[in-house]
Amino acid sequence: MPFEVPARIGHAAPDSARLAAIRKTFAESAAPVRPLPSNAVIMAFCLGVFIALGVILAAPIGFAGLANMSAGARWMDYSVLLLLALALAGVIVEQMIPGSRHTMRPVWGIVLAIVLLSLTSLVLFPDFDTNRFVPRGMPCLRYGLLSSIPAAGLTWILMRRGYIVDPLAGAISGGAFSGLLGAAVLALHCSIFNAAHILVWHVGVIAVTSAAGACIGFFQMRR
Amino acid sequence: MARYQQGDAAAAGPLVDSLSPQFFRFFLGQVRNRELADDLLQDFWLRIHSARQTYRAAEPLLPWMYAIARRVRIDQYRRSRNRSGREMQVERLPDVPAPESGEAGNVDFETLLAALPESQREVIVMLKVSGLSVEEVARATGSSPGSVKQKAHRAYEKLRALLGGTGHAV
Repeated sequence: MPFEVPARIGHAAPDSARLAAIRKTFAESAAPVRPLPSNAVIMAFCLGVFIALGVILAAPIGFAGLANMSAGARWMDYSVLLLLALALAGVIVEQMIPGSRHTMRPVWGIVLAIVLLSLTSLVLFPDFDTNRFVPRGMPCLRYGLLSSIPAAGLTWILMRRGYIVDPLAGAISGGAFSGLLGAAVLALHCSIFNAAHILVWHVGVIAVTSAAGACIGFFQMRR
Repeated sequence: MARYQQGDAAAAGPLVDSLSPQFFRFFLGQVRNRELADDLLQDFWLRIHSARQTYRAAEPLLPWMYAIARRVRIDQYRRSRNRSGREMQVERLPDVPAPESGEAGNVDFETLLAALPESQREVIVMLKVSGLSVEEVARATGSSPGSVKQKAHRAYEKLRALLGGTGHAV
């Protein structure tokens, strides 16, 4: 052992009166609580919410994207979205449970989401036409962001069941998950199969909501 | 803890009694003030109570508790920093007077700890004062075991530099 911890720290004990008060309060407040379900159950719940909310939010504006996409593109695009939703749900669960093993930092989750979705759109829709780029893109960004609001609300309710030890990381992962849901709604609705459009206006939703999450987390941390 | 989670008030006493000294030393090792360490300990138990639904009996208890203890310490640090209105320069090593030769045993452990950046000090206190394993520290700090080892290594190097010439094995 490289260090000898001095006795004043190594054997230091808390104030006995204070300890008695803590013991009393702790015993008096004892009440049964239901432990959180396993990570797999919470992740499955998140995935269920992701799919259900995605369909519900895309329904009012239609499923043109889904209808006009080829079978192969549909399979690949939605599989990637579901896999990313599962990965980000895992990140959220890790943030909810103190002392859990961290497999992925939230920032890496965002990077993974952005890179994978960008690659998918580049492979599936290698079209970079920028004709009426902004007028056609703004409604997508707007609806993607609007769709992420209910997702963010539900994520926040879910995360409150846990105990967030890092508000910044927690808010970033929540923001990324809700942004991914916004991107999924757009993937169901939007029939502009153009890589440039998807990269900026669909994938951009994840970047914006993650940044918003980071801002919320930062202010929460400073509170 | 599992019994307390189920509402068993009788489990509270043994739980608090058995773990409080360990967490008190964790706080004391970082804040170097007994009264403040007592305050942090009290805050810590309040948070353990409010977070008890997140404990899973199948998972190790200490990383769960240390993750919460770490949060308590970080919040206290932020509050005190906001109150004082100035930032603590944790990256700069304070001038530590060189111990006289042959008096290596007099080197102040707390002064040495204070010389370390916050993140390295936290790792050293968890490893050496609380006796956690690298894996447990990684879980408690939300980082990887590799990162913990790296922080500990850097901390040892800094301490070695501070103790240079004293004959201490760091």
